Amino acid sequence: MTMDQDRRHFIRSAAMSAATAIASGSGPFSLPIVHATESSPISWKKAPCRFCGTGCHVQVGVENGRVVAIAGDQDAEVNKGLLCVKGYHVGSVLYGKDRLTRPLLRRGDRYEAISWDQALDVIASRIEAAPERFALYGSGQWTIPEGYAAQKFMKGGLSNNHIDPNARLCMASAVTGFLATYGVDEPAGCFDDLDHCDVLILWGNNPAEMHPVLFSRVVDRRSRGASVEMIDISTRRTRSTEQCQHYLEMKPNGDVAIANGIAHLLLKNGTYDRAFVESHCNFKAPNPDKPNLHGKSIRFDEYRQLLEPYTPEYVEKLSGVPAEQIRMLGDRFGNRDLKITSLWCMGMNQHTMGTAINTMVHGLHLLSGHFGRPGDAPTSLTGQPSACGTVREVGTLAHALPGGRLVAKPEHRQQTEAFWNLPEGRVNPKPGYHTVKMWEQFCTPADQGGDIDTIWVQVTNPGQTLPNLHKLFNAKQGLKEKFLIVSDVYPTATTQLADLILPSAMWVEKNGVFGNSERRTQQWFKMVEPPGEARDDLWQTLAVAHRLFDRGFAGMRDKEGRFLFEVVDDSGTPVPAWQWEHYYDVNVDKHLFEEYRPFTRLKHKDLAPYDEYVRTRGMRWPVVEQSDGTWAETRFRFVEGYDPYVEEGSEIQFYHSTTQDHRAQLWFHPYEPPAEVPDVAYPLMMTTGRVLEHWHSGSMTRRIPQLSQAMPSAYVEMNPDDARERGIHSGDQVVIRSRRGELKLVAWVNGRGRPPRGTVFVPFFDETLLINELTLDALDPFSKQPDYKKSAVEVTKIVTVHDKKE
Amino acid sequence: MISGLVATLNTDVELAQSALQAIGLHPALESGPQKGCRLPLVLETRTPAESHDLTNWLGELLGVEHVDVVYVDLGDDSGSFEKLVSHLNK
Ligand code: SF4
Repeated sequence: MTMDQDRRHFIRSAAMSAATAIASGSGPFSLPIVHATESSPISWKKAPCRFCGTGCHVQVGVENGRVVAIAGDQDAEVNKGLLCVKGYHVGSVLYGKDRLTRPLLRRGDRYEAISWDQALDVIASRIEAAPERFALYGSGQWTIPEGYAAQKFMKGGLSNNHIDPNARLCMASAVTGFLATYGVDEPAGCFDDLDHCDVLILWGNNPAEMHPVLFSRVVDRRSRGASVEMIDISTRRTRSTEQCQHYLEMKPNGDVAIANGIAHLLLKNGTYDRAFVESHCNFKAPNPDKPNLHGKSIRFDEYRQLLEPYTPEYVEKLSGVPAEQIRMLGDRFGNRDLKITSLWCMGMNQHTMGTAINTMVHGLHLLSGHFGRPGDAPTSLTGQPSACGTVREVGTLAHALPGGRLVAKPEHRQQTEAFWNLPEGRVNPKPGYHTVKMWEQFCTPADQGGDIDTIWVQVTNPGQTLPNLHKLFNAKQGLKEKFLIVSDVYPTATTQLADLILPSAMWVEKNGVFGNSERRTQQWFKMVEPPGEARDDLWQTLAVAHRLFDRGFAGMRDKEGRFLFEVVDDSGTPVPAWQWEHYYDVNVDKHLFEEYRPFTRLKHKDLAPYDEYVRTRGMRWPVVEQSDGTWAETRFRFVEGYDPYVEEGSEIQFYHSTTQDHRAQLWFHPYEPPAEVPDVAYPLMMTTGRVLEHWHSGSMTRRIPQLSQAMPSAYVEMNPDDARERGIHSGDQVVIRSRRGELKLVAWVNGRGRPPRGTVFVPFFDETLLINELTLDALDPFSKQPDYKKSAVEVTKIVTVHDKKE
Repeated sequence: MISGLVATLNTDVELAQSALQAIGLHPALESGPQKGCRLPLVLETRTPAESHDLTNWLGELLGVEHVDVVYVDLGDDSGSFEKLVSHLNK
């Protein structure tokens, strides 16, 4: 056989093994399994999937310097070999036709290819001219070392805290919810809870499309005979609803009323877990005089009194969910024989009461004692592959430092300066601009107070994903003093306004470490070369830092005058990693990861040495060294027997309690209506979101033919009655208008989801149809996360299917 | 382009049988051992578009309930930098 035939034969048999394995339902999850055999012409290596926060592991098949095949990784605990449709196509993201391969500088209305050396000079000059007017905007798609370097560059190098990630738009309210409840961020449980729960409650969550592999873990349990009751609390029917026994259709913000209604019933019926509450909880309510995450302490009887009005009938009025169904939820939470897992993601986070509802769902689990047993867990999910690892743990937020430190706290700044060997006072005490504020300042002319002149965007696409795009992004156009730098792999809605475009390496074209939604840190190695002159984002940060160092910029030196990012080889000799030809002489990822590790111990989020992650398919922190020298992960935090930091005899110990008494805070928040509600001019409520085939803004998945053909463009999903009233049929072209903008779309009556009367849904993945030109930029007051789920709109028909045919 | 697919067949035996016949006659498809109502398949086409069309065709057969794509091999499909710059300059 020739090499080509040999390879073809191998690929065909791999495809058949995968199909046969899934058809026979072999293995614990009915999974497709492809074995990487010694004799195959393809070399297989492990990597986490590039897309969502589930963090499935894939086996990447490489031949002749190209990724040629993808298989689910059967050794990975997260997905046990299973992948979703996006995961199976993840290799194709590298090979879209229009990869960016050279730095491009805008000259007038044209782009000109320039050298990397010129590009570094352009950036260094912009920063030198006004370091305090420079901002860096990243995302949960940064790897941990990339985010750590970006953070150190800004806060340790430029003494500038204007760094924020796109994750502010998707999970900031989950962070504030965890902090306000436990004093420390991120879920106590993990994905194992899905294997043990008797009841799964989806709070405004559609995992069948957004986290399909996780959802299939539960569906698969059921198909093998386990009894799992699934309850969907949502504003529209989705693919997840189809699998649920109960569908509770709520009005926008109805979740807040529902949570209060359940708590009301637990107290009224005496079914709350008294022993748990007395031993492990305090009570809190918002403090109107001083709104912050500490609120004001209240007594149990005050808590009870505040909940008094939230009878099932009153909750029905507020939420639209029948009183009977509120009672059903009250009964489930009141039954300690059941194990209940709550799941949520954007529905609860992109919410003007995001922090509130996050604390309240944690509160329900605490009040009812559904906490701390496998299967009993409040668990938030993330949309980006390293929203947890990079954003929440490394702390690439405008107010944070690595390891849960805060820029506003003098002792935290000192600690950080000591780790980084910086002179005292280098870290600026003033929090930087959060995402919405950063872009607002950038889009405001300098003479009108817009004090951000340059933004460098890495690994994200704000030109599509910010809310109210006309105000927060498009307004940049024509502002001569503003300069937008975009590092990306493809042209996007963001590069359209870029003044300098930098071509980036992606996924297995570089080394990386991600942290998924269950505290699992996952490592991979570079497997193929990036195209043309595309280079790692981490290298780009180091190279700019070194250009500033060369120019004598004081911030790029440590106390001894050494370069902030000095990397040494095994013999201790510095390596010029800022020069691309030497960047891979050492493992810069490993160097930065080891530098970062001491921070992780400050909040008991201990990471193991880098090499442990090379060996494994990820480990869930805290990862603690055992007496025999091995490293053990933690499945359930705050629980004796699982969490090494819980003192013996405590059973449950919230050791980062904000009240410093090892107790969690159980919050009451009153119901409030959404920031914008339908009226005569804009009578419909629009919610936005994602679809199974596309990930985030679609800049990668729309370049994968199978996925883009399966879901080619955005649409507006309508209720049949609303459509009929407006003379609209599926396929008609309509215009959708809000107070902020308008957009032409194709109508889909009902569609994949089924919006109730008075609501419409539009996905945001399509860069040719930017629905965020219409969305509201109202924020949660604590997390500063916008509410993309509730904008008032009107829909009008412009072209019928019939007219189009003519 | 090579993909691994699993077709879930209709429980109506006659419908399933007619689908199996159509699949058996198609030169781009190779069937594996049927397991209950699930049929493993390998699909080989020249382009992703063909692959997509054939997957759709399969899904539309009366005797097929749905089709899962469980494995994909990536063809060589690289683009050029010149094309990109001209696209951006448009
Ligand atoms: S997109 Fe998410 S669920 Fe799908 S394979 Fe990737 S990590 Fe898993």
